[in-house]
Amino acid sequence: MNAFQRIANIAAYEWRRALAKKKFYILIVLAMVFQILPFLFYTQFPAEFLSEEAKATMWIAGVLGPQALFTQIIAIITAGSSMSEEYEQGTADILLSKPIRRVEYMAGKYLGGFSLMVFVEVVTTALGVALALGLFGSQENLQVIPALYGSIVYSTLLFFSLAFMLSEVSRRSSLSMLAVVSVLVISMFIGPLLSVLFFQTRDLLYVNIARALPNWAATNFPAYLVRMLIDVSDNPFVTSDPTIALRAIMEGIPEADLIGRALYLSAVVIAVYAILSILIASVRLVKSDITKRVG
Amino acid sequence: MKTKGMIETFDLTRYYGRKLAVDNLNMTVERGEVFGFIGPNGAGKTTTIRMLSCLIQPTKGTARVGGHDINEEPLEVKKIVGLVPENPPLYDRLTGREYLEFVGRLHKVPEGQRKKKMEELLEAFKLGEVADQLIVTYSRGMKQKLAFSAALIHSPRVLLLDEPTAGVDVRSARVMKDIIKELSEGGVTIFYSTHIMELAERICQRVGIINEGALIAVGSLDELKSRFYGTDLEDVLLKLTGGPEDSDLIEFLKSERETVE
Repeated sequence: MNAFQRIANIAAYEWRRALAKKKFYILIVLAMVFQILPFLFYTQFPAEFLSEEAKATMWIAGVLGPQALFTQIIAIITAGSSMSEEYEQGTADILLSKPIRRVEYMAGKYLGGFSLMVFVEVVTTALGVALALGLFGSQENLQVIPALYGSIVYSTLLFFSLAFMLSEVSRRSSLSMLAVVSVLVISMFIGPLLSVLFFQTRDLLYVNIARALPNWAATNFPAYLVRMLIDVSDNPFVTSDPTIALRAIMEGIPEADLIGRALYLSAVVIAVYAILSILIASVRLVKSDITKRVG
Repeated sequence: MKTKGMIETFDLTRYYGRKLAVDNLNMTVERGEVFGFIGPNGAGKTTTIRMLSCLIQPTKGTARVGGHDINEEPLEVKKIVGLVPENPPLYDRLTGREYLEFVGRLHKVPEGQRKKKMEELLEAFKLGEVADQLIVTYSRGMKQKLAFSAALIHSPRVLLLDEPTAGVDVRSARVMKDIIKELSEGGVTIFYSTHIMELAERICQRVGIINEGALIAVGSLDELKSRFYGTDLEDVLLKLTGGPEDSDLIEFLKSERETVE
């Protein structure tokens, strides 16, 4: 059996493990409910507020909606217990006493969990498009669906990898999940606060700090990409980075250029967080003992 | 290092922090031998088995299993070893059959051979009727038997057993004992850690007694009984690992081994 087959075996097992959990389905249902509710809310807006152009791009709001929070939480739940549960239940002993390298084991667990996220995001993307078509009629710019979907998958890497790393480092599921959810929630609050400070002081340091927070890259990367590809300025539900407009005035740079830079930076931030997390998890797994059941 | 036995340890040592768990273990287990590894709780039995199955690394020294070094060739060691850990952890959300299939795949057992072996093992351990039920519904004894089956799915050359009969009913324990004998006759080396002295007496050709991480006596049951004036293995074990009244004897045996080595 080559390394690829061994990794595929572990990945298939990881799917089975994740799909056996009730909380996984509850989160998917919650994500769908919170995707449908805003759409029903949008339909109640007066016609003068929601232009025909905006209605034609509502699918983008539908696809980006769950990505801002629920997709990240599902990623954290999936990855946050991926490695640690094996120690808590003692099953790491069984797997790692088999002829499989520790790095292959980790790769299988990571790819298995992440491929599940890729599938979840197919569902939320399809639902977002379907709801927009059903409630707001014909949609435009659907040709960017693959790019938007790809960017959502890429942005999920950040919190997924962070939770995966903490799962291996702490070897405690509840601790790793709680820690990463806290990081997500705290950075969701700190980010806007730093933007406000930037507006008040015009000091770019606040913007730069906000952009180093994991939440900024993970939630803004797909939105920046959409803005680079198509014009969504008519749609009030496709959120924009408020600091960009002020920076454009302050620095005398066109907004499109600043969005391009932000897109590039957010891609780099996601890659840095993901690569560092994977490296730390690998070192921890390869260099340390397989601990006996701790749960 | 020239290979003599199927399992050989060379100054195998393991610390957990500052605590010495296994102390310069030197021993050889021959091919086809059933070697009993006995000692009180916390003596270092499980740590030794975890090192031999490449789950943890020695702090010092090494071991060779089937001629493969546990530090240098862990993958080769794992290919020929079957492990039954104490209170075996299993994947609750798989059925017994799926679990054996999964383990067989990890060991790259060809499909036809895997199916045949699975049926043989399920039959031998009387698990056929529950094979398609989720493991979460199994009793402790059934889980133990399934873990034993999984350790045999790839026809290992070395079987590492850590209290394999814990929680198993008399009938299943008998089945395990018969299978161990059969495997041994077929050339499989069995490294058998247990608290149950009667079982060790009945099936082990040689016994190693470990206390506070150090191997303090090795030999056949008759050798141990005559050397330590014991009526049976339990008596020998208690004499060697018993209370403070035996500490002088234990210290003497340790120093004697150090002199020989």
